[in-house]
Order: sequence, then structure tokens, then C-alpha cells
Amino acid sequence: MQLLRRFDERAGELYGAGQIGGFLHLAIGEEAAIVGATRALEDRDWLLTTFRAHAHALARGSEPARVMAELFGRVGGLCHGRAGAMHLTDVERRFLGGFGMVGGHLPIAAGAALASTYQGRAEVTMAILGDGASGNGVFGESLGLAAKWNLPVVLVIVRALGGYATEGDAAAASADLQRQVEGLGVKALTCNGMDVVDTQAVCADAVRIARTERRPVLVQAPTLRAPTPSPTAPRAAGDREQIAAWKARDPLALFGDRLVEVGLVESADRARLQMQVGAVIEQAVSFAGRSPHPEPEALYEHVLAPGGSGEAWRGFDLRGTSRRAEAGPHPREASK
Amino acid sequence: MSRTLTYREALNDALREELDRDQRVLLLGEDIGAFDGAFRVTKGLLADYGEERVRDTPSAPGTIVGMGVGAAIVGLRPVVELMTITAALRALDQIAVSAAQARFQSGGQLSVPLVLRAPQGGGHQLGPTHSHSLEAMLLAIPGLLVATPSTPADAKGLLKSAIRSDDPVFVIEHESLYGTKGEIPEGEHLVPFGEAVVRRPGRDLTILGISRGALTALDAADVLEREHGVSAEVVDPRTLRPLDLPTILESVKRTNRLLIVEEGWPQGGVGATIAALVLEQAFDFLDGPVLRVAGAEAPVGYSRVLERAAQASSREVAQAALTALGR
Repeated sequence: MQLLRRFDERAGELYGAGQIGGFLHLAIGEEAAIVGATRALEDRDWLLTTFRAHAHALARGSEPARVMAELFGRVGGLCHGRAGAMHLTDVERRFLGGFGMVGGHLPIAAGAALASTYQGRAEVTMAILGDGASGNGVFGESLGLAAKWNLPVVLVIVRALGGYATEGDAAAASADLQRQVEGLGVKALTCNGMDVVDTQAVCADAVRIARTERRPVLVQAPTLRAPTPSPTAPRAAGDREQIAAWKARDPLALFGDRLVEVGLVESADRARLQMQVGAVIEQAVSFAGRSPHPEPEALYEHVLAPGGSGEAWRGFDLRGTSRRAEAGPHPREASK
Repeated sequence: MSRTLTYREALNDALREELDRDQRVLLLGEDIGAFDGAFRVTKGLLADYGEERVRDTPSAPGTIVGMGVGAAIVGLRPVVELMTITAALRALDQIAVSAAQARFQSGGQLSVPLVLRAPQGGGHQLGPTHSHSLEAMLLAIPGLLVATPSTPADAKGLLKSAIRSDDPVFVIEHESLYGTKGEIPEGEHLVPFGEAVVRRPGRDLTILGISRGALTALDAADVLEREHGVSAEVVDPRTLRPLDLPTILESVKRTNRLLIVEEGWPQGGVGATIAALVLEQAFDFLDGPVLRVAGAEAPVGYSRVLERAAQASSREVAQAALTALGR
């Protein structure tokens, strides 16, 4: 959680300084939900998430330096500068990616669970989504088909209240969603998304149910995202009152206090951990800054499978005669 | 040795052979099981391969294509049938964004060996939602291979190659061709992607026919020879990505004239793209403008008369060929 928080704070600064491009969706305030949910998975399980992907990659164990380099758009990034923060993927950690299209990953998660089931493997697929994705048609379609085909999928809705919706409204919405998915044959659970221990316990339960009962499970994790600048309004932060209200519920600070209270961590250890995390992040920034930009020619890499039937096509550049000399061998020759 | 099969039987053959060959192959689609498929392509497959491998789905194109993407990423080789090419529009996000970009976006970490199949084109008075030809729209997407078989042998051979491809492939079948018959070579029959075929050799002009347009071109070539003494060469690209541009250029360099036949809409059509490529790369060999006969710039109407009026006919193609030759 500390790593996610400090990474986001630093990335936010670098975004403001123009080192990071595009949209950068911070996850400050969602750390407990993200860490709690992902810690409920085993290494063999698959994870898909929203466009808030960098925080999920870190939670899944991706190297901070390679995540930061991806945010910088550099060759040293996990996806060599093709993904950015929204589409980060780390297959080694069975992290199938952030998805920029809201809800686009839900049927893919169901498909991944279909592949695991079909191949007789007891893997579970977890997809983390925002509450907005539950209004997309693929939400109900994917859950319905996952229930019908007994697929072990866990959907975790990180419901960001952001201080803009009242708790009562949120509770009503969450009850509606629960009724909706239960009607599809989906088990629905709720956790406190501001509490990492509760989130992990409930998500672990969800993962266990999915794995043993072979059925989809939905977990609703309401959170209060920090009133930080949004990618589309980088200078608009919350007012003083909102910030104070949020700080009183900061999941990271509260969890730290709790660890000290119960005697698991000394105050001094807490400071030392912060320093260690700070050093990891500065190393990541340094690595990212030193990593080269991709060469323009690298654009054509990984468009089609290497050695596949489409490969010869990569030799043809369709932008016109200026590149005509680069026209590759005849596909027949190339396929020999 | 060869056998005579219909286009739909050839596709069924391809699915059976690949289901037998590779346990990772499974089929998803609306009504493909109990109902044998809207066009009977999957006839008998549920009974022979079971519901684990032949899966009836709801009518939810975005979700079933997305599930195909997820299953492909995690190790399977799914073949998703869409009842009509128009359904691909409902799944375009998953096709263009998820399937075609996953490899690129992940820096080569992900692979999506997914096959999508759907019929396009009119012929049975199915009106404006089930009769269009959308190959140009699909061809516009980098990372997606596109096949347009016009004969039973190519339908079988291209579908088999598609299932073995590590790239996502859209196999565009033609609704009016399911009942057509043709010779299929015995034994393993694979048609490689990126190899055009000269369906009929000729000297005076090249007619490039896409999807059923290849057959329309052959009919027109008969008329041209019989009634006008014109020798037309007919080329069928068979796959649009990869496109066998060298074979097209080689033919144009011999005949010096090119006419392109497609059933899709003319604006931004496949013919427009190929015409541009030929102009860029073989301008000096052309003795006249590259001409196109495409589908009409209008929806396809239900009435038999309106449906025909929307499609490229062999008579129009023959007329355009004569124009290309300055007659």
C-alpha cells in the first residue's frame, strides 16, 4: 500500500512536469481495495483491471522500475512504451492488463476462466472494475454466461465514492446491483474497500467460492478516492473540507496506525519502511529516465505474430511510394 | 483425388478436421449447436464433439468475441461464429481493440489465436441488416488478418489455416455461396494466407474480384470472351491481409489494365485501397485508369429488385471492362 501511494504521488508530480503523458489515473484512496483484492489471488490466478492499471501491476508484484519506464513511454517499460499507464500488462505475473475501454475486459476475463476450466486447471480469473462498468451491456452478459458455464470469475467493483455521492445513495446502488447479479446466479459479497484486511478476507472468500464451487462471484468494495487532480482536470483538487474528510479516512494511514496499535509494527519501523519505499521509487524514476525512447521503426513490431502468415505483410508500408523500396519479399518467398 | 462438396460442407469439414487435430480448438456462437448453425455450417458438430467444445451462446456478440479473446490469450484456439457480419459491428470494440491490438499493446507478451467467422453479402432478401459486405471496415484494422474465400476449396483451406494462425483472423464467408459446389483435394488441404490465385488467365485486362466478386468477374469474363472477343484475366486475392500485391502487380504489368469488383460500399472500399496501391507501384504500366465496380452507395433493400440493384452484376462488370478497354 505504501508502495502504491508513494508511486502515485511521485507519478502525479512527474505527470505535472510533463514526464508522463496521456491520462494518468491515480489510485490514491483505493490502495486497500487494490492490495486486498489482489492479495486474495494465488500466483496461478489471472488478473485484469481498469485503466488504473499501474497501481494494479505494482500490487501484483511487477517491478516498479519497469512500471515507471512504461509510464515514461520507454523501451525499458513492461510493454516497451506501447501501453502507457492505462494498458500495462505483465504476463509473467499473470496480469493480463489494464483496459482502456470501460468494461471491455469483462468478457475477456470470462474467456480466460473458460480456457482455465476447459484445460482442467483450477485457476481463478479476477477482474477489477469501476462502478461505471456495471452499466455496460457486457457486464450482465459476461456474468450471465459465466454463471451458465460454471466459470470461476471474481469481479471486484471498486466503487469510488470520491466524496461526491452520499453514503445512502451508494448503499442503495449497491443493493440494486446485488439483486441484479443474484438474479443471474452470481454470488454477491460486499467488503469495506477502505480496509485492506477486510477486503482481503472477503475477496479470499470470493476466490475460494469461485475455485471450489465453479461459479462467478461479485465483490463490491466501496472506497473513498482522494480528492486529487483528475487526468482531465489536472489542477482541480477538492476543497479543504473534502481533503480533511478524506484524510480522516485514509486507508493507508489508518492501517499503519492499527499495525502500531496492535504492536505488529514499531513507529520507527514505519518511518524506515517509508524511506525504503521512497528509495525504490527514486530508483524506478532514475531507471525510467535513463531508458531510451523506442525507435520509430519499432512501431511495426508485434503488430502481427512473428513467423506467422501475416508476417510478409509487415514488409509493405501502405503510406505510399516513398517507402516503396522497403516492400518485402513476395509472401510466397517469405513463407518458405 | 478430390471430392465434390458445397461451400458449407467444406467449412464443416475444416472445423471437424481441426477439432480432431487440436484439442485447444472449440467453437462458440449463437445457435451453432442444437440448431446446426443459422446457415448449417456447424451441422452435427454438437453431437460429435459435445457441448464442452461446441458451445451455444446467447445473442451477445461483444461478449462472445471478448470471451474468445480471453480464451485465446489463455491458451485455446476458439472459433467464434457470428450469425451475420452485421453482428461484428456489435463486437467491433473487442475485434479492433482487444483482439487486434493485444499483441502490440503488450509489447509482444500476448497472442490472440482467435478465428471469427461470419457470412456477408445479399442474395436471400434479408434486407438492410443482414446483407451488407463489410470487408473494408475489417481490413482497416491493423493486426487483424482477413480472408474472403470464394470457392469451397478455399473456404476449407483458408479456415484451416486461420485456426492454426497465431494472429486473430476474420474469415468472411458469403451468404449466397454456402450452397455452391466445388472440388476439394483429398487429405490435408491448407490454403496459405497471402497467396492470390489467377482463376482465369487472360491478356487484355485484369479483373480483380473480392469475395463473391471473384465469381462475378468470372461470369463477366465469359461474356467478354463470347460476345466481345476480349481476353480477361481474373485474379482472386483470397486474403486481404496479407494481400498478395506482387501477384496483382505482375498481372497488371502484363495486361496493363485493372478493374476491381467488390460488393462492399465504394467509399473507402477495398477496391479504393488496391487501386491506390497499384497506382503508386505500377503507374507506368497502366494504359488507362483503374476502374471499380462496387456495391451501390446505399443500404441493401429487401425487394428482390432493390437487392439486385445494390450488388455488382456480371453485366455491369463486363460493361466496365469494355470501358476500361476504350470500347
